[in-house]
Amino acid sequence: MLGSVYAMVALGLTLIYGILNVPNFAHGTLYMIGAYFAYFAIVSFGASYWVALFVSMALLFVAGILLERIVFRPFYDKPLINSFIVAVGLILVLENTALSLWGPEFRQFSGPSEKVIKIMGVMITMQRVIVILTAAVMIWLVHLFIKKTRLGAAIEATSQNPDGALLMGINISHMRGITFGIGTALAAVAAVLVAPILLIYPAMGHTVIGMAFVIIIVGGMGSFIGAVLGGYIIGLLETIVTSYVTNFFTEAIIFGLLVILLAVKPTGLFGKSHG
Amino acid sequence: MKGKWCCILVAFFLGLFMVMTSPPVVASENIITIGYSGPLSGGGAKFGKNLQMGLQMAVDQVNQMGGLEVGNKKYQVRLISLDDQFQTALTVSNAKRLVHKEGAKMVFNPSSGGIFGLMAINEKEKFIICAYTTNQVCVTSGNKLIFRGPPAMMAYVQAWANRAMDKHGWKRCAMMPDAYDYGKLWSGLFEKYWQKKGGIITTHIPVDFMKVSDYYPLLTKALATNPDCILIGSSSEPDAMQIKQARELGFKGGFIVIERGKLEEMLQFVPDPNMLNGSIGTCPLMLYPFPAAKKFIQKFKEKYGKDQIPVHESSIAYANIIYYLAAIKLAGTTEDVYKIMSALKDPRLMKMPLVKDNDPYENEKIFPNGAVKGRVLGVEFVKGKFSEPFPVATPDWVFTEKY
Repeated sequence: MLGSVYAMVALGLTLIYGILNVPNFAHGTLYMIGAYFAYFAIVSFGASYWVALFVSMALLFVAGILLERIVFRPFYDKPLINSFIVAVGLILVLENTALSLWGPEFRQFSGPSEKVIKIMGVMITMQRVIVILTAAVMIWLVHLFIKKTRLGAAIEATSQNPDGALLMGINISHMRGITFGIGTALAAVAAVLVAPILLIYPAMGHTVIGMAFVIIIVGGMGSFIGAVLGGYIIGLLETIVTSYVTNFFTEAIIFGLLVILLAVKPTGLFGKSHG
Repeated sequence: MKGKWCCILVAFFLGLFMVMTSPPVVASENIITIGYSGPLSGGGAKFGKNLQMGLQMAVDQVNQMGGLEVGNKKYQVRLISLDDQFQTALTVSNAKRLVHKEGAKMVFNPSSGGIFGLMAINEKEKFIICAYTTNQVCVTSGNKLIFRGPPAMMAYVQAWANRAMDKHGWKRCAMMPDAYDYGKLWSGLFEKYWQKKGGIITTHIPVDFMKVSDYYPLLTKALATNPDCILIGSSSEPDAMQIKQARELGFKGGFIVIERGKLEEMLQFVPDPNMLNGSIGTCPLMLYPFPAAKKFIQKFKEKYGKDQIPVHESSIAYANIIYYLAAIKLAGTTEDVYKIMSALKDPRLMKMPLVKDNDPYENEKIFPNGAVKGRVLGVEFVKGKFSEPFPVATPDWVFTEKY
């Protein structure tokens, strides 16, 4: 369950990194905003869960495009550190805006079904099944989009070689905007899926973003399959370590493994070496 | 061109930030400053805001009455709040700023870690700590400039354990307290008392509620030990999620809720109130039968709106500011912290009209070590409803002795 959420967040992050070369630290904050949008769609406008999911996704897609255009674009030809600082600044701005607009209190909305079902003697709530299935479908859709559509191919081309793509007549700026939008929309889906199980509050992105960065580093920066597999691996690992070893050093263990992995294979599991 | 826009945007946000954080300017020079350092953002923000509402309410009320008369001078009171996100290092630097730059003689702080940090410097830098914690060490350490608002932890520990064992016959308890200072202390005291009464602690799994995103793995581990009840306690909403998930996993037993979690808040976060059945915790302020508590609730709703549910954080913080201001009045000084401190412990304090008319708990006294002798009630959730409140025994030793 955790793995599905991680995989989606990491996938969005890695897409953005692959094409923009910007580690978007504010990704977790956008995840939080996605959850709030869905919350207001459901609670204030009485939308159904699935409509809220779609609304939040669409809004965050647009927000992603706007953010790329307004916040990140001016810094592409500047040193990388500028984008870094902008991303960190974005966390502060968005999180404090959320805090002052919506207050610090925890919020919650319920999923389409609160039922508990039994599969082979294992108790599991309907919502968890929904998380797992929807995540799989979303990841598959993104995969299809990139591999099978012209737009997707253009995005992949831009990611592999921006100059080459430009020569082929691909509008790189558009690609960057769209990718940022898709990445952000994925974060929104992850947030809305998991929100009925967890709680919504302005700092909710913190836990996820740390893990998402570990995942894309483990998986290899910018790698699609790396992010997805990395997401499931880290999600499972976290659950297993928490249940069977200790819940105290979960992060220490995961980060420790990351250090070991990087020592052995500096590009991550599926990363390409620079060239 | 773009650079210019960026500058304007940055300047705008800076301006906004300064407007939002700067204190209201008070025209007169005669000001008493109350400092508050607490979690105003991050996972503890709700808790910090509840406290802030109580503090602000006391300050506004005194100002509305025309200020505080000390000697022959009238003073206005102001509250300055700084965010420390429960981080001790920030608490200490906030306190220094509050004391040296803003002129506060008292700093209110709600975390045991932060309070220990402040205790290392407060006697040297001459400021009073108003400690919002049930931790006993802060009043038994000999620090002369500290007073503690909430009741002693031990009172809760014993009352909850007694109720669980004597009324329900629960023997096996799985402890899942919060992983910080407070949870460690609480569960430590609980474990000793529970075992002394013949109970068994089946497992001890500290939960880091600021980080944990899913309770299933932890609960699975706890439920595997077959407990009659689970000790939980981080903060209302995470507690509610923990209870909900435990019920989803088929747990039928009870919950012992450390007093930071509030049953009335948890009620809003579970789909079915019956999930909370068998939970033992502090009695909601709304159900306190004291007339003064009822009066406080009414004032609170007038100020913050009908839908706001006042919780103990707000009312205890409110009461503490009232005590502090009354002590300044009694001591006749706004500067000498030692005189203010001894006025706080003066038996006449609780009889002053300012205190008598406002203290929601009608508390009896403040001990020489700075602990307020609080009155506490517990409650249990039975068949989807709150039970009648039951009294929690608070003999003097739980406030004064080291344990």
